[in-house]
Amino acid sequence: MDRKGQLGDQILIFAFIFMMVIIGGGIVIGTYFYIGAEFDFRATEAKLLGYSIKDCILSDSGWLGDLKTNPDLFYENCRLNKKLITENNAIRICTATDVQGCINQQIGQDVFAVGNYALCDPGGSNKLVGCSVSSFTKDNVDYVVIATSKQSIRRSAR
Amino acid sequence: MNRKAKIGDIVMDNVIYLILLVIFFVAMLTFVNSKMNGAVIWEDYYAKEIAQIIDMSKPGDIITLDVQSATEIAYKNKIADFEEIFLFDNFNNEVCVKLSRGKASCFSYFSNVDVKMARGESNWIFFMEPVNRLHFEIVESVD
Repeated sequence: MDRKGQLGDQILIFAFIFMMVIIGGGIVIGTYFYIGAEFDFRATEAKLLGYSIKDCILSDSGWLGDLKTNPDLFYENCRLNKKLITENNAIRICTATDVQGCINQQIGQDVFAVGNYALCDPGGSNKLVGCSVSSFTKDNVDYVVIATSKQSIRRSAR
Repeated sequence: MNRKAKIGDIVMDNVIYLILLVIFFVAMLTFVNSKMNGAVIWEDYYAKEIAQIIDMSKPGDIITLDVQSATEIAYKNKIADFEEIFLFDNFNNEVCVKLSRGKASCFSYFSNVDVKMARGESNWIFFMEPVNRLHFEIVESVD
């Protein structure tokens, strides 16, 4: 019995699997290049959230001052879902004139904050989150609103 | 030398290779077909666009969307009931789009509102007027 020959035959299966992985990988990568990856919506969602917050603050009827004692007022008045905002987004509202001033502001000095807004790097290389920054003035006070989104599509059995 | 046993070994080796090759071929064919069909890409697109529209809306707004492409893809993929294409989950604030059999693509809207069938309507989708349209209404959240 030629044991060496038999061993050679069995080792050949690794080469076969290796070739299939290479060919399969090539097909998968090629398909992704041809069709494209997921439609990236994070930046749009962050901008939309920032706009909603700005719109909400500008139409504030006195609740903004009470946010420190009752943060839920923000969700109620801006008609935002607390659970989803906590899961998918981060928000920081500051009384500052620029973004860096808002980011550097210590926690507790801001008007309102939820989630890891420090991930927001406007114009930077952070591709983990969509990011939006807007600034405006209301009653002679300068506000900066930082909003982020990290939500991606979910596949679910329905 | 036992020739029958040797022939059996050779056949067995080749059968294993053939089975692996068929599994690989079927997997690749399924993958490429699912991508070329475009269902997953369109599900992704519709789910995100609808979530964006809901986030931009206020209670009382009635939305009408052209969903001709979605219904055509769903028809090709043998989705029998078109009312299953767009699913609004008001409990989790998410919209799910299903254009092929199997899983749906879901995306959440941050706005705390509910989505209902438009007032006086009994269907989500209206056909041939001149394109298929999705109708829904934004209402105040009940929770």
